[in-house]
Amino acid sequence: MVCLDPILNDGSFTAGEKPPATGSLIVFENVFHRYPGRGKQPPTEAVYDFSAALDPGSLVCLLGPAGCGKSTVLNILAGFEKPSQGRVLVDGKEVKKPGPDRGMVFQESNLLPWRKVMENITFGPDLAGEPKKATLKKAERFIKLTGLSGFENHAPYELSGGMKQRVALARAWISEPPILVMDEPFGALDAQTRLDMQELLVRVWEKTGSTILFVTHDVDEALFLADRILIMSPRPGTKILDLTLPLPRPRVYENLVVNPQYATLKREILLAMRRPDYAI
Amino acid sequence: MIGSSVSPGLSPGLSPGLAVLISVSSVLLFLGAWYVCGRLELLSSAILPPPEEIWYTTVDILRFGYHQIPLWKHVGVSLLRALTAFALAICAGVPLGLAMGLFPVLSSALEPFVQFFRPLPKIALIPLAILWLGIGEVSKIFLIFLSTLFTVVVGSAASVKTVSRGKLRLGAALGTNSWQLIYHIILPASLPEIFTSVRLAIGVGWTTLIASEMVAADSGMGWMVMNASSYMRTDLVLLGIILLGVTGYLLDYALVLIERLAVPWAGKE
Repeated sequence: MVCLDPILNDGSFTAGEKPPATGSLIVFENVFHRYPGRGKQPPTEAVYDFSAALDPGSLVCLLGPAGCGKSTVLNILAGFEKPSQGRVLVDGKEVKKPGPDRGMVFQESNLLPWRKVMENITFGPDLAGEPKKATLKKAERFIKLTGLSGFENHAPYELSGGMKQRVALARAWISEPPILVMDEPFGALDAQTRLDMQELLVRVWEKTGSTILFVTHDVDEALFLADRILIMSPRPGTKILDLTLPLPRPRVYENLVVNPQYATLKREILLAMRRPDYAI
Repeated sequence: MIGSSVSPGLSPGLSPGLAVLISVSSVLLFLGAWYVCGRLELLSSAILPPPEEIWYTTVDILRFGYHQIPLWKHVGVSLLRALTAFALAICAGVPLGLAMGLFPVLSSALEPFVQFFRPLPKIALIPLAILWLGIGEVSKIFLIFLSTLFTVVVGSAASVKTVSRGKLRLGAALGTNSWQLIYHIILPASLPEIFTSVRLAIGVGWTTLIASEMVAADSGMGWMVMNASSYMRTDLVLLGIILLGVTGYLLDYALVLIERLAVPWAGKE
């Protein structure tokens, strides 16, 4: 494929690359997405030729500035939106609609206020008609993992923002879907709570082996969480950098910030994100 | 201070006790001013009878009734008519409105009728109501029913649109089928809005009570007001108005209590 756009024609540019189709749980194949314009306005190119292949069990962050189309990429994987071109494969099958094989965590917790914390967590299994006893057992495990013990019978509106996101995590995780899709789930939390939640996320992830695609605009968050970071350009969003992080786990944030590797990686990411030819 | 309670949500607001105290004082102050007006004979009692005259009338009516019918029966008859109509309007209007909110085809088909009837003054329908349903209870209940129904329908239809996209997406991501989505997410998420529209609708329906009791009634609060006015019994008219107002207020308060029990999360998300 020939790239005609001069700003995209660069060494680090990966448009048109054919992703390996074997061994990957999630494959984005040359995904384009444009939103139709309103009235006489031209359509908005949100995603431009995005390709990537995600290994099972990996934690991948999709990093980019606000409005770069990263949420669109995620919504296409979730099945909420259809790509204008290209396709997304999960386990070799094309994504057509949302489904319980891809758990979702959103920026808003989207808890159901008419259900107690426990009932929110068991909502998925309840819908699927799974036996109560087994569901409660699974719920107990994730209540412990997410630090919600003692809050089972609280109403969602009695919880703080961080606690709400814990419930949202437990709810997405209870059925242990092979894939978890997270759209800036900690974006609305204060800095301290966000660190706690990031640690919590890694802890639960290590115990479950889910594949996570985590969208964020926070470079530090991506560096703390990810095995691999996909960096997107401003709109129309495309992949401009694909970094596999050599940072060892367990990662401790206090140590990470003085790790020279961390600094080098952060610099590389910032340089890619802030390149003048991407500035509008 | 007054200034501290201007912006809702920003200031802590009044304590419940203080709020009630202020409300009670303001009513007492109003009654006091009214009383003084009567005492100074600023207005003739045919125009505006002083509060004590209304008090004596009340005692009198409580003892002897109005037109040989005890006062509680007037109140009861009106309440029975109104509550029957409200119940029917809610039972019909909420499902119909929800269905319109959920199914655009149904909405497009019914929208012209709903928007035609909703603002229509229901008094205009009195001749038709009598012609079709006679002069009995049915036509009175029908008029209140109609004036309540359309507000409930419009409110319930709109409530479906207030369900956040996040919640709908959550349902989809958890693999709900259409009925599960309606039952587990759309319906409960719409409830606070439905309650608001029912409260509005009952306010509208209550105002139609007088109109409905103009249809060949011989009892009821609305009828009492109309009947008393033809005898220039302004004291009785005012008593009827006060009864209508207080009953309407209590009806709304009862709904608020039910709402608190049914949707304790309303406004807290």
